[in-house]
Order: sequence, then structure tokens, then C-alpha cells
Amino acid sequence: MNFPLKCIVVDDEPMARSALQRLCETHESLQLIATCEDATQALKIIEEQPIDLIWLDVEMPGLSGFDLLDRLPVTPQVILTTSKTDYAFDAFQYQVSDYLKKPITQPRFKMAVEKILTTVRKNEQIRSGDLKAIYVKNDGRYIRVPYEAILYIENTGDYVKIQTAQQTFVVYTTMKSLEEKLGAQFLRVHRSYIVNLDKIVDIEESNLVVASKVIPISRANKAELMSRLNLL
Amino acid sequence: MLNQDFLKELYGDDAAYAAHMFSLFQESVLPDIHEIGKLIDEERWNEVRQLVHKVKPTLAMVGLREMEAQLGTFEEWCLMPEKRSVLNRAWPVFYKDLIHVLPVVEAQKQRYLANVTP
Repeated sequence: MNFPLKCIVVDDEPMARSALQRLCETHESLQLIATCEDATQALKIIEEQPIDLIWLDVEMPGLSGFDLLDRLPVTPQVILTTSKTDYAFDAFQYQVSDYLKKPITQPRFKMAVEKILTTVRKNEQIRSGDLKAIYVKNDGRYIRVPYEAILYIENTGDYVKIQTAQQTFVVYTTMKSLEEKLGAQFLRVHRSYIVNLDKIVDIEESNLVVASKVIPISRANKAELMSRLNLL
Repeated sequence: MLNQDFLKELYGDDAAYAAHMFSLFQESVLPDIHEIGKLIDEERWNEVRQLVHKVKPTLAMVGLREMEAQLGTFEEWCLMPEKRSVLNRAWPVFYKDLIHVLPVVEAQKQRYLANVTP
């Protein structure tokens, strides 16, 4: 999915359309393709080109917002805009991204867009395989261990222990090999330890703490460690 | 009379946007509101409910939040046959109040227009 997100506004009420038009046009992450007075107009536009996001009213003459969603082969991100809160259950059933009560204030609009952008980026990462993880052999199968789950890695001779909050994986590999595979959020702070910088809770002169585990910091790695942290 | 805090939340400092919305209210919403009385007289309750539902949030967009809430009540009454006679009596009062407040809406629009940066 490319940014800005291509969006349409579907609402039978002119002021609501105009307000959403203005809000979309002034948001850098959105590209307004069209404003539609009814669901039939919207269906035509969606058939002609891919749409990433629909700002959708529920109660409209003719097809309702939900009727429109029923007719879409692929549902893009949808934000329901309605003056009633009675549709919350249906909104949940249709798995819409957000539900805004009209009239829509600027802060609420921005919040909804941010929510969509977060979802879209996350989906994009999943699609592109960008979510960082390693696969660890365990009992004859490979288990995915996301980087963010790793607390630290400890060298135990021929093996390394990958420690997460839930379990320990013992892997036959070297610290150097792991160091090369892991992302920038990891740092070797000692001959025997690589830590996830995001998991450090405390640093003292010659050691640090990750999830209650005290880990030594070698003198040679201290400067690098301090430079990688967001110190005040 | 108008909820200035809410208007600020809606339009921020964008006077041109606010003025445009106020103009749209006068041009496109008021005719719909005038129509509601006729539909009530003709007891076309489903159409009354649809039109009330449609215009309800627009009142808040010109700062008339209490009147928006009143329309919310009217919308519910349309679905309750026992309340329709109450609605019959309440609508003229609501309409009169609205007509009374329209000069204030116009004055607010003029203030926005005066603040539009070229």
C-alpha cells in the first residue's frame, strides 16, 4: 500500500461530506479521491480504482453503509461516521477500523487517521516480511521468536541461550553469528552477553539489569552502549 | 448561545473552513429543517425520522449542541407512536427557538469571515 492513502467519503449530508473533505485534504497521509452522496456512487468509484480507506455514513437513503460493505469483494479500511451510537455491534461485526460520532472534531479525526496508519503499516510489515524475528529449532521444529520478545542472549560455551520472558531457547550457534543476524536494537555488552537495548531497566557502572537479570558490561563495550541509549 | 468550545474543537483556527460550514448550514440544512414541520403535519413519521437524523449533527456544527440533543430525542419519539402527539407540540417550539437563534449563527459566520486570511 502506498502513501498517501486513497480515500473516499460517503455521506448523504452535504455538511458532513464537506467537513470530511476539508479534513482529508489537509491531512498529508490522505488523498481524497471522491466524495459520494450515496453508496451506489461509492460502489462505482471502488470498482474503477483501488481505495484504501472509506469514511462511511451508515444511514443513507437507498443502500446503507452496511449494504455497501456487503457488496464489496475486498473490504478496505473503513471508518464509520454516524450521529448514533446504536451501530456499535454491527460495526464490530463488520470489523470496521473505527467508529466516529458526527460531528467529527479535528482531534478525533487525527486520532482515527493515526489508528489507520498504524494498522496499515503493521499489515505492510507483515506482508513484506519486515517484522523482525529469528526462527529457533526446538524439539524438531522451528519456532518463531520475535526480536521484541528477546530479553538477552547468553553464551554458554558451544551453545547460546536465548532468553525471552516466557522461555529459554538453547541453540547451537555462536555469539558472533547471532550478533550479525540481530537488528540494531541488540548490542553485545560483554563477551558472554548480547542484550536487547529496549529491555534494559537499569544501568550501573559495570553492569545492567534486564528483567531482574544482572548482566556485566565489559569496559570495551561501555562507550558503545552509552552512545546507543537515549540518555538525558 | 453557541458552544464556542465545541466550535474550536471542530474548526481550530481555520476561519475559512468554519465560515464555509456555516454557509452550508444556511444554504443546505435550513431548507431541510423547514421541511420537517410539513412532514410532521402529514404524519410521515419515517421520513421525519430520517430527516431529523440527517440534520441532527449539523446543528452541533454551528455550535447549537443543545438543539442537536433535542433533535436526538425527536428522532427517538418518531419510533414511539405514543410520543408523536408530544412531538407535534414540541416541534413548533423547537422551530421558533431555531429561527430566534439564526441571527446569532449569521453573526458568528461574519466573525469567521472577518478572520479569513487572504
